[in-house]
Amino acid sequence: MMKFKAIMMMEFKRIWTTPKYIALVAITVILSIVALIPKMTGALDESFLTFVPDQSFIVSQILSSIVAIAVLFFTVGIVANDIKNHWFRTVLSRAVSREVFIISKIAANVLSLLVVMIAVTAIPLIIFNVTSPVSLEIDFMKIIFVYLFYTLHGTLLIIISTWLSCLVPGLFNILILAIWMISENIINPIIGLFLWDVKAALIFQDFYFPGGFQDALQVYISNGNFPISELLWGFAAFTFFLTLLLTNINFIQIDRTSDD
Amino acid sequence: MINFKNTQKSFKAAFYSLLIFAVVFVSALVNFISTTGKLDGWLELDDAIEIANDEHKPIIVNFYSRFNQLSKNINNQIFANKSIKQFFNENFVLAGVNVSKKDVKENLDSVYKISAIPAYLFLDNSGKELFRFEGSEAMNILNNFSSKSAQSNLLDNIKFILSWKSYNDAKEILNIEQEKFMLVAVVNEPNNSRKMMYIFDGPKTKSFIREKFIPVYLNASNNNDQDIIINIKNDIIKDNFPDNGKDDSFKISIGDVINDYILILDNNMNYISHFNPQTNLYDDEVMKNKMELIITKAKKEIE
Repeated sequence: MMKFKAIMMMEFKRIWTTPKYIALVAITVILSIVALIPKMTGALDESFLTFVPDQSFIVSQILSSIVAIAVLFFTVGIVANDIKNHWFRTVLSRAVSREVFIISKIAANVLSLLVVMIAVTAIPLIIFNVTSPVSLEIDFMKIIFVYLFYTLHGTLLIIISTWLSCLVPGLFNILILAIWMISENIINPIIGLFLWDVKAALIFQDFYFPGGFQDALQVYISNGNFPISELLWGFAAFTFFLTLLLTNINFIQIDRTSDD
Repeated sequence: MINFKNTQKSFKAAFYSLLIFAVVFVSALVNFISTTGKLDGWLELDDAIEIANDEHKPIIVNFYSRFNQLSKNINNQIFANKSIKQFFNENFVLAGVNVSKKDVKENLDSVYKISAIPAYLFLDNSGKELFRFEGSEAMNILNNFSSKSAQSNLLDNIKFILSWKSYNDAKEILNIEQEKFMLVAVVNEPNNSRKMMYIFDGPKTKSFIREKFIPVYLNASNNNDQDIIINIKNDIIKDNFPDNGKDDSFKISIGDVINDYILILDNNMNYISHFNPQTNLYDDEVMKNKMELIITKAKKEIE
């Protein structure tokens, strides 16, 4: 446990380089200014209250793109680059197993993702509510669930990206992941328009990209029901890719550059 | 030098993860099989028509597939919303048709003319289609019905269209009420039928139609209406536009009139004017003025 914690904190510090700090602060400042617009323009008054959507919906809309982008940024060559620059070799020369190391790495990335999620949504949201001339209702429970489901979804993306990095060199892991995510948005409408009555195409669409946690969030936000079915599919994908990662991590040759 | 090839390796965590995956995957599969095969509270279509006839309620037919994500999202999210569920249950008879079933699938194109899933068809109590929402737009449109104003607006519009006459009845009424005109709203593309609803949405338009017209609603998705649409094309439109509409389909193509149109006829069933349900007509004032202009012009010509 001590090893896990120590490696996780070390990895966390390695992730947060100066450019990443600057990028995070810049995005937070921009979104905070956006949150001030209703106050500055006087656009928000009682008559506009009906047009203000549920704040948990706004948070989930922001997080839907922020989480994907943050994962791509944090996990560029997460395994491949660390093998190339001998970081894996350095850590594993101590009495640390590969599974502990890789899980610590993932935990550090999840922690970083949480920092980003809170910085870009919670701070602007607080500013928006404090400066709003009319009092807005906030469903804290819903907002907590938005963070919880997006943390799970982000963790799943990190695991997939890490697994891909065990298989391909350099930044190819995030290229594959990005293409995979984007192509889902192309495939869905195609199947919806032309193959909607082909059972195999619909099953393919369902399993093309793991979106169980996002679906679970949509169900919860729209009607407050607990999304058992969607969560089960989310956790199935989570454990499936985790198994692949924990298996593959044992097959990578971490000292190959020194052998060459 | 340390040999890393065989050290620090362990498959223990991978094995436990695989075990958890197996349990979760089987649970998800069992949950999927046991819960998404049918829709709670949605009747078979034939039963729904029978009940709708008894209770004089319109019908909503939900064409869904258990394998379609959007279908699942709408059924799990929108129709699970208490306000929406209560509204639809109180005011409509709900029928569900699972398009994954083989016999249904064969009839999809020939009978229901469904072009995307999910499809929500709003029918009168005899089973005649009024309008529909299909595919990805269905989610957004149905989601709007969580608001009370959208709910009452939908009911108003349905009530209004249901008060319209059949083509033959309208002809007879025009013989008696000779100062009135016939307004025929023709929908040839079922998926565009909502446009017709939007243009007749405003209170001024509704009251003007009640005062000046005997309105008729024809939707090509209904076989009886198809015959009438072809007759209108052959008897009325071809006479006025002899160079167009030559093909034998029930669709017409005359100037800017393609597929869906509103036709204005006088009490002798003579052509007066026509126009498309364009988006600028969604404005109540614009729509009412357009019809007023057509009638004023027609009256002047008659005089």
